[in-house]
Amino acid sequence: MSTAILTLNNIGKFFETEELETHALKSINLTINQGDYVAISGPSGCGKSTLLSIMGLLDVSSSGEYYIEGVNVTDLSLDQAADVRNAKIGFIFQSFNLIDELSVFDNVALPLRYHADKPNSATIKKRVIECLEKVGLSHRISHKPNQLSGGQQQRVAIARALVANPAVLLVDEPTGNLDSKSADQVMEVLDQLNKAGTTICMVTHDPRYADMARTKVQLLDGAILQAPSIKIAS
Amino acid sequence: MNLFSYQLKQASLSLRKNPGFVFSVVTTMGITLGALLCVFTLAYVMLIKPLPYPEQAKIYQVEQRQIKENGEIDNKYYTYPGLLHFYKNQTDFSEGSLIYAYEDVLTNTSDQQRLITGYVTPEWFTLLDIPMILGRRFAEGEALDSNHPVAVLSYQTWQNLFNGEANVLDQHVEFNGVTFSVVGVTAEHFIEPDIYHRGDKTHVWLPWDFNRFASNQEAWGRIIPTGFLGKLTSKQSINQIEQRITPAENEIWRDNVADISFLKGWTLEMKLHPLQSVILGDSRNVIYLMLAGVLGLVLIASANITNLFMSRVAQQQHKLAICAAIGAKRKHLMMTFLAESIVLMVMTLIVAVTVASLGFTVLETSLAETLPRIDELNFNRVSLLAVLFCLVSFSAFFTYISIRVVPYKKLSSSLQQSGKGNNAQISKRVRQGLVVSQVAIATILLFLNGNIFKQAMGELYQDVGFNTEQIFSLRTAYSGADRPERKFFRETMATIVDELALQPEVDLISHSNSPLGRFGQWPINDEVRQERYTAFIKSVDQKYFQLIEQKTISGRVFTQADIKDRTNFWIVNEALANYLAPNGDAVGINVTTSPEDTYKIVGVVGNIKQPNQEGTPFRVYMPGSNSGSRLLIKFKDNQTIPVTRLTELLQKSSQSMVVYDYQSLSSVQNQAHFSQRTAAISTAILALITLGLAVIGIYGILSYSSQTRRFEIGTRMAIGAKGKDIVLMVMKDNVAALFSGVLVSLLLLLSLYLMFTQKFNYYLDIKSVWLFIGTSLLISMLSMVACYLPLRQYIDKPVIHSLKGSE
Repeated sequence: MSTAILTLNNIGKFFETEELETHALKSINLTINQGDYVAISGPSGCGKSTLLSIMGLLDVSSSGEYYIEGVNVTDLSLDQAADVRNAKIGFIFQSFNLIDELSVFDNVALPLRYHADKPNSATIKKRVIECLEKVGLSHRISHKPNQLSGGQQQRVAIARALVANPAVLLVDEPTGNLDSKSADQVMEVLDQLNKAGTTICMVTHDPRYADMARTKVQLLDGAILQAPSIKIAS
Repeated sequence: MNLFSYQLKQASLSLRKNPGFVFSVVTTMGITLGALLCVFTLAYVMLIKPLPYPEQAKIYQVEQRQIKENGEIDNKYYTYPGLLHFYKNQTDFSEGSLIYAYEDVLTNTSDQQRLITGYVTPEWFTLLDIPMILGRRFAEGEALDSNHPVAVLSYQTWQNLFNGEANVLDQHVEFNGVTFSVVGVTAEHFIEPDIYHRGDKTHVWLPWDFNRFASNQEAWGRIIPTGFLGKLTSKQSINQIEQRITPAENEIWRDNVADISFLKGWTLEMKLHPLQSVILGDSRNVIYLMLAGVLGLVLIASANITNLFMSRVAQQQHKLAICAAIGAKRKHLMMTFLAESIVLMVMTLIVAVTVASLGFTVLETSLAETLPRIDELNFNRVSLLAVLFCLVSFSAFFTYISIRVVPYKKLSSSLQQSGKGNNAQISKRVRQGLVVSQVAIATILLFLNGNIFKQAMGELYQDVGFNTEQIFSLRTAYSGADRPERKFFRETMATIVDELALQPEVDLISHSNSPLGRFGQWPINDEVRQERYTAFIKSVDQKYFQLIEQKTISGRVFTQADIKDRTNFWIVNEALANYLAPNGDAVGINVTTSPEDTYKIVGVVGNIKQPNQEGTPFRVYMPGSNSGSRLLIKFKDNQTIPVTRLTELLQKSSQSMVVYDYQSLSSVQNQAHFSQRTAAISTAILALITLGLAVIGIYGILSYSSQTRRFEIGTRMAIGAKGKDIVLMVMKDNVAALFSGVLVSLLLLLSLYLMFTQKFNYYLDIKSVWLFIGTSLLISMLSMVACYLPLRQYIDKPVIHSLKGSE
């Protein structure tokens, strides 16, 4: 039986203004198991990124309960949430969000610097190199992000997401800022990672890349349109 | 409406929507520019503005110095015959006036006021071209040795003493038993040069012949505090004139003091000083320090406003990009910024001019005795030019900064990229530079303010050497139409003293002037020790020291017999006792001030510290009650006599006796400490403003810096950084700038110290090191708080708030 990594029970999110209340998410129920490769898709404004932010503990839900590896993380404090993000979640952003002033090495090493275990320099170095090798960029270790192409920057971001050995990678429109060739390369890396056992949950509105996932979740107006469709691995 | 008018209108409308920004800029810059204008005008008046006298650059004071055998300057006083010799024989000045100022009692009025009297020769009036509102100046008839008793009143004296009566020229004034006919009144706008005691204005001018040293015609060995002022006509250089007149004056002096053994080997030296530098005195450094302080404030404020402008421009980037996209050229954008800068600077200058005007009033009331020419302070052409210069330069500067923040080339492309990664940004180096400058300037200003504050507080709370609690000084006056006989007045005062002593509230009474009152200045020729020194002298009765609780160090205080017999006894203060008897007791020592006058020291009392007193002067107390109308009354605890009852008591002795002045010593002391309190309060306020400006400035820079790092902060938090990690990171990033700022301030302070060592030594001591450390720590601590505050908006909210808009 597969182990549930992420479990969302009736997750809702609404925003209040003076005049109206907007429901960005309505009673989302979703479970992502160990080794899953889930693609969340839907039109603009359907709540994909909001859902991913809640799953990544970047935002808090207005209702419902959320579990990571069976632990209720719905009402964590900001610091507790930071610890969980650091240890359990690897986040990959559409615009890479690398820090320009840091080298590739330091960007990738950053999650380990904030890690509760405070790994020593040798461990950090070993782990960073391993991750950069996985994304094929170990030769760019000393470069600054602005010396890399968009695709390379996204691969560095993937390495950074992997470095703390998270339970799941949350990927938000990873190809949105890339040309098709670079996008293909990034998707290839993600595919390889999943095949190696990494759990991935990806938001995308590109059907071509959504099809690469084994599970597809369609969102519309803040609700799951249909039950997750599971693709049988070929 | 042309484009610039339109832009000015748009700028006004835009600014109306940002009242916080406008308020910050206008108040911060307005207050600091106001202070700058005020101090700048003061500096102009003191250092540059010509004196209001014809050919003022040619007016010189001629000083005579007596040089000891070892080359040291003993004093800078004339001898009376020496002064007259120079006056009669000099050829370098077309007009030369003898001058001497004193305080004499006006004896022909009921209240016997003390007035400042100026004894001058007629050239005084022509030299300064003194305007008259009534009558005439002194003329040939009042020249040296004419002995013609006439008087010229100042405008204020005419108003105060004669109520501005038109028939004042038919009246007279009486000093020292001589009746002087009033022949003129100076015009209200006449500005008297501050030559002697700063801030004191002469009330009455009398002919030179009536000065109190007139009997010293042959006293070549005695020095007197007089002077010579003249208009130079010689074509020779000052140095040449000095070298020519010195031997001539020295020769005649040496010939006449040859038989005075302790003057053996002494010489005279003549020095010429421009009137402007005489008036300026040692105030140059004070004004430089004031200028430095206020410029520091302007720098801090400018840095703050620069930062506010940069942030505002960054906010406006989208609007500017649209303007650029639809055809606005670089110069159009520049004009937009300029219009906004001008609107803001005009508002700022209105505030600045108001603040400067208030500053003038404060300076005139509080520093008239500290700085020269304060009464000439007002907005003049130079101030207005300075205002205009500030308007143009600050508008241009802020326009320049604004246009630098949004490079035109990048603007046109920013719309295409929807602003991603292309926000207007100020480089890290500029941000760090701003932090360094803020910290450095704030540390310097705080440190300097702290020292002045420390000094002022020290003077406010120091031990003055006598008690002021429950002690009142009373000055009586005779209000009858006819001046009473001296004997009657003395008897009346004795009756008053007896009557007051009987009152149950009174603990002790002394027929003496207040210890806070002015002492007479006495250049003493000590013929026993063959030395010269200046002592400050006062006549007191037998109860004076007991009443004010001035400590007796050795010997005794005066007895009733001493007072009655007016014995030649002295009680001296500790400073003079130590000078006269460095290794023993001064009691018993005789001091001979002239062949006829020998005084015996019978007691030594502790030093006292009068408000604003520099150093520890020699003080001599003589037996007597010369103060005449003045009494000191010590009341029992929590008791006093109200003025109404006091008047009734006085009038028991004579219906014409009135209370002229009745104040507690504590309140007199408080009033006299006005400048210290002002210094303490103003430095405390300035320190708080500095601190506030620095913190706001650093907060502004770091707040802007945090805004530009928002996505970075969000990203770090997304991958696990906690709030404290972010705060530590930002603090760490700014520690170097902070440290550099403190270092720069230390170097600048050391440079200032080397430039103004003498001035700084007055304020600095070993505690100043701790003050600097404390100041640096305070600035650092507040800077750290300023680091934290802007981060709260990111670290206290879910990470998504920081990341919004990053996609």
